[in-house]
Amino acid sequence: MNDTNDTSQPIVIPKSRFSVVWLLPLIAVIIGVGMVYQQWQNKGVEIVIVFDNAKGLEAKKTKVKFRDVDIGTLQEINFSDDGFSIEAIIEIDKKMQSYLLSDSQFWVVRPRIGSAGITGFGTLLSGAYINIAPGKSESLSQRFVGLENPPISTPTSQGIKLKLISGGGKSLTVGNPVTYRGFEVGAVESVNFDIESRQVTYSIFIQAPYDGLITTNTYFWNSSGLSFAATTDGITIDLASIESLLSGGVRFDVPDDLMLGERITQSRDFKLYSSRASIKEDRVYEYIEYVILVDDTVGGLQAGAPVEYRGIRIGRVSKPYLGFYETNQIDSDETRIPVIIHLEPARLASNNEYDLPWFNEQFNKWIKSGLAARLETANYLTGTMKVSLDLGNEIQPEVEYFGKYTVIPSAQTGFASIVSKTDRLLSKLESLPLNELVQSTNTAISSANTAILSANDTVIATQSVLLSVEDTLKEASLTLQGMQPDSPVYLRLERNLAELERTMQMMQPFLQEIRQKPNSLIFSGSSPADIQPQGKGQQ
Amino acid sequence: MLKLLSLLLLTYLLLGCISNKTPRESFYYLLDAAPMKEHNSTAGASKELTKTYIKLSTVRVPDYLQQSNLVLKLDNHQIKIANYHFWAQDLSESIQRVLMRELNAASPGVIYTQQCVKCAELIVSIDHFYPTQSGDVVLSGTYTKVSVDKSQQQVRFLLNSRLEKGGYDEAVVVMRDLVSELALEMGTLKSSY
Repeated sequence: MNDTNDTSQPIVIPKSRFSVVWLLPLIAVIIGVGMVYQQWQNKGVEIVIVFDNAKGLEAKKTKVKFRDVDIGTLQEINFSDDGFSIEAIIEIDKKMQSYLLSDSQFWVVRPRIGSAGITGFGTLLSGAYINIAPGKSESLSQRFVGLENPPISTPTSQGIKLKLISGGGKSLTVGNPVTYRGFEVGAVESVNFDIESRQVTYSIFIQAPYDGLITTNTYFWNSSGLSFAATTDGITIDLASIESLLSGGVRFDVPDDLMLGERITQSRDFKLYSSRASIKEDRVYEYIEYVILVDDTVGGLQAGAPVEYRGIRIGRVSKPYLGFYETNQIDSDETRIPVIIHLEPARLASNNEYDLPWFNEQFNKWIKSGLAARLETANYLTGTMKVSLDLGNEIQPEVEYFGKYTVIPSAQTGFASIVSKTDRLLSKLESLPLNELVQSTNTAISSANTAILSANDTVIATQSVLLSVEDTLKEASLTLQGMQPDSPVYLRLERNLAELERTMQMMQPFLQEIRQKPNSLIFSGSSPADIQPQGKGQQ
Repeated sequence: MLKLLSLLLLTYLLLGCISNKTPRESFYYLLDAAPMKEHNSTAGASKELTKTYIKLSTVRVPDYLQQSNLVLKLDNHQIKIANYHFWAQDLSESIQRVLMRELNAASPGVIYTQQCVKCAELIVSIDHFYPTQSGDVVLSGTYTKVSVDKSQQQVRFLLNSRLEKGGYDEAVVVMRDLVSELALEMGTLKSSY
């Protein structure tokens, strides 16, 4: 035994300062930090969209979709500072941050009934959602103004936007179709009423590739309603579509008498005509100005009234009367009313196959040959007037001018014309052989009287015949009643027929015998005795 | 000589005419030769209001029976029409009359009539009705009961009887009995109307 092996001394083992138990909270802290980091890492981008109202929106439920894929969720709905709108706070998936461009568009998809039919029908079950149309701006944004209606075109849509200034016709609404020869190529995007110009302007979008149809000579017109045209082939009904008829729409085309023109690539303004017919009537043509010095009244004559040559429209009235000052400047002694008209040769030609100087020269020749202008009633209901040109006036050696205007001589109009016509009528009446006419009329009346008396006799005779026919019919009716199935005559007849039938049947053997043995009528051998049924009791 | 020959020929011809035998006698038969008391529709009319009325339509008979001559079926599927035995009255009418009398007699609660309004109807159609050469009498066909609601029930019948002595005399009596038997059969189904 030695001292080192003495067991009385305790063995002291030094205790570790770090307990294993402390590992648990440490791991918990690491996991917690990791979760926080994960949460921070996955947190989306928060944006604010301002809407007019929160119809259909629900916090924590309403989704934001792009091409029907969820990319975010509505987190909160607050009122704006002024209280007139709402702010939807939305968390967008971090990966979709690149779509949050400053010109991106947002709108709420919910069931809508409009001119284009029922849209958003699927949201009846799934609930409304917010749709996004990414823009093409280079700057990002976190605050947007939401659209109240789905946009006709998005910033990335290919096509062209045009502005139409309405010249009348039925008003259009957003979404109304724009059609080219019946084919829908775009839609009305917005409607604005300019208070200063007092005109309605429509913004339309023509989608690619149909934007190539828009040229400098393109004319737009309101296609609402029906238009009828009577042609040699019958009545033609012009209708873009049932949708256009009910809700309105825009049509466009290049008039037949114009070249196609150059293609439009930038947005610009066009006039929206009230109808297709009004394009030909109202569009601006190149013109030559003339004046008509009218002796009579110009009441009912309005600017734009047609100027016609034997029913063919060749121009329009520019000014129903020249201003007093201007008239006085030209000729202070002039008492006639100067009416300024525009003759537009392009209405008679097509595709610029005309030459204004040539027409001017030609008109001057016609004026010398007796071309005269006359004011005529265009519409007896409204009393509007038009200018009618025709040859037939006196030939004049030179063309007259009134200031800078060439004068077209004025034919008699209004009261003067009526007096002249009345004079001619009275003189014709005077030359009529009235006495002979009255005498022959009397003769004709007396012969007609004779004819009528004769016709009266015929009618009376016809009446008696008709009465006789009526009596006959009554008797026939009674006779037929007697022949009804239940009548005694009918029953008797039926019995007689049955008897006849039986007799004929009975005659059959006799006839057969005659056929086989004709002499049996003389030498009638008696038939053999009938075969009798046998009795079984005898057997 | 020629005169003598002519006289002999004429005498021969006249002898031929007068030498004809006496014609055979014809016999006429009535199917309902033993009439029963006629049903009187006017008597006791108030009591009969509660009774059931059934219309018995005209009895349909085949073409070969639509004649006054009696017919006999030979053994070889042949019909022999009698030359000297006739029905005294139309066979269809006779059968209808016999049926109506027998049915009215057998059914106290029911009145069979030729005409009635909104009542059930009984339509009898005869296919075979004749004595056979071998001594049987056959009556077969169908009768159809048409209810007031126009529902129909058709029953096929085949009645046979035998002749003891034979001859048309007995055959007509047996035929009459078969019609009575048919009336009894139809009367047993009155409850189904």
